[in-house]
Amino acid sequence: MRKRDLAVVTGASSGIGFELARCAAQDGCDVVLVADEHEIRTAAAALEDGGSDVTAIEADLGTEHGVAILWQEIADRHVDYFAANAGRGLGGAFLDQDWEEIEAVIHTNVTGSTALLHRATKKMRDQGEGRILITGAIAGEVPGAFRAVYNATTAYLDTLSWGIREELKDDGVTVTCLMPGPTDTEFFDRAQMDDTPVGQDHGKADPAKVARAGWDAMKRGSSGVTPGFMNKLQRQLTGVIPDTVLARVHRNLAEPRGAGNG
Amino acid sequence: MAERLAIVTGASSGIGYELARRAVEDGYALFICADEPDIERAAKKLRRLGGTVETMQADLSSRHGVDAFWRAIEDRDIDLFFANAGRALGDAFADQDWSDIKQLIDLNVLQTTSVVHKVGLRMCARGTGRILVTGSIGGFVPGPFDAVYDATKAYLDSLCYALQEEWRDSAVTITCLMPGPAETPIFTREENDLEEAPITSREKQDPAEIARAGYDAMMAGDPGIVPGLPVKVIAMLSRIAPESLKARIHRSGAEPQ
Repeated sequence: MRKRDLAVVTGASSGIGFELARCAAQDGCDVVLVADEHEIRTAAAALEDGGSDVTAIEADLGTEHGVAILWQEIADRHVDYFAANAGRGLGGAFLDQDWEEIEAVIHTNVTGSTALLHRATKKMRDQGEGRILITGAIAGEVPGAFRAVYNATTAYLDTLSWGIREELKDDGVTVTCLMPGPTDTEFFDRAQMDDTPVGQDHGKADPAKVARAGWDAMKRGSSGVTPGFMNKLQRQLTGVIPDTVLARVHRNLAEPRGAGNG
Repeated sequence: MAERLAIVTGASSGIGYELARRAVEDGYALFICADEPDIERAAKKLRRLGGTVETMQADLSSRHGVDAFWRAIEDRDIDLFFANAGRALGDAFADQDWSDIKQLIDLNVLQTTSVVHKVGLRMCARGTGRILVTGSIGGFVPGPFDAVYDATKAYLDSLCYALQEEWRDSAVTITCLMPGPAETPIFTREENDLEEAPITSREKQDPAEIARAGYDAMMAGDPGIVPGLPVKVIAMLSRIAPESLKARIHRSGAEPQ
């Protein structure tokens, strides 16, 4: 009997990450779920009924130590799918943010993601096959007034994903960038963005649908996917509207109510 | 009246040196910093232009270096700040050493964000000041064979435009300089691993021209500047062309031969 495929999903305790892990389990994969909080065990337990071998790892992937913990678990296993999804948001004006908060966003979204992707690409290139999914964001195409560092980190991830996809194209390894728009997850609450127009918007996308679109795009080996019509429209428009205008639009969505004159 | 102060990081050569030269020609006192002893040679040349030039050798990719940097600056008023220090890293992502990648991220992303945060707070408290960040056209042309470098520049480009908007009603400005490939040591510094990339042997832009365009844009408070017309055309195209096509074009210039 053929061994089941193995999928690794980071940031899998809730939201899009949890739904990606669910896609993996539904597709008959064994799954390693990682997050920096205890809830990762509950998330793993919720996927256990389908016959998959499910492993929960609690680790902060913004630290070298956390990356090492995950790698210890998967180093000797054949990894078919790697979903680098862990990320932190941070709203508010740049100069009102604490440096420690900014640093945590960079450590998780940029340094930690890159460390994992570096190991994953090497591993998969050696395997001669593998599929990588990177959760970037439509935000990477839009300079983010009042969420500046977060949007910049997603610009980093979107750009990195296009670059390494091209490098790996003859190695049997594909890289897909999932670029969701605002999704109905704990993201806005955790990013301290409850009091913003985008945080209060009720039309946000369903994380299960976003995850399924991303998972399927990865399995096809597509370069990127922007789930939902409005996001596709927005992505098209970002190609022709100047960055200064986009930044202004972002202010209208992300500026905390009662602040400034936005 | 106290001399107006301009601070330039990564000023030992290339675009950073030329930015410092523009500031000194404009009558600013200089504080220049780089991670190599050549900063003293740069200072000597700049002093010949008649300016006061203070130097510091510090590695801004480390928190230790950044702390020492701020200790040296103390609480002096900063009129112009050029966040220019950065490094590159060629070769395929999977073939790069993690320690090089980590240093690239720490310098280009983490510590540039840290200095902009600190300078932004000080300038906004004072109600005046101008910041120029050296991003890159690489930030919107995705880059195989220097993928992480281009991603760090995409980060900086995005951050700059966002802050320009956040500070719209303040007298403090932030401008993003987005040059294409320039004739600077970035391609030949050994640790950057770009000696064998085709782009290294092609004709590139003059750093003095890039710096002049960047300096003028900064003084005008412009959000961003892509110096030179051909680069501007690339920039326009890159916003419309699919990323996969752009990445393929980039491969032809950056893949080691």
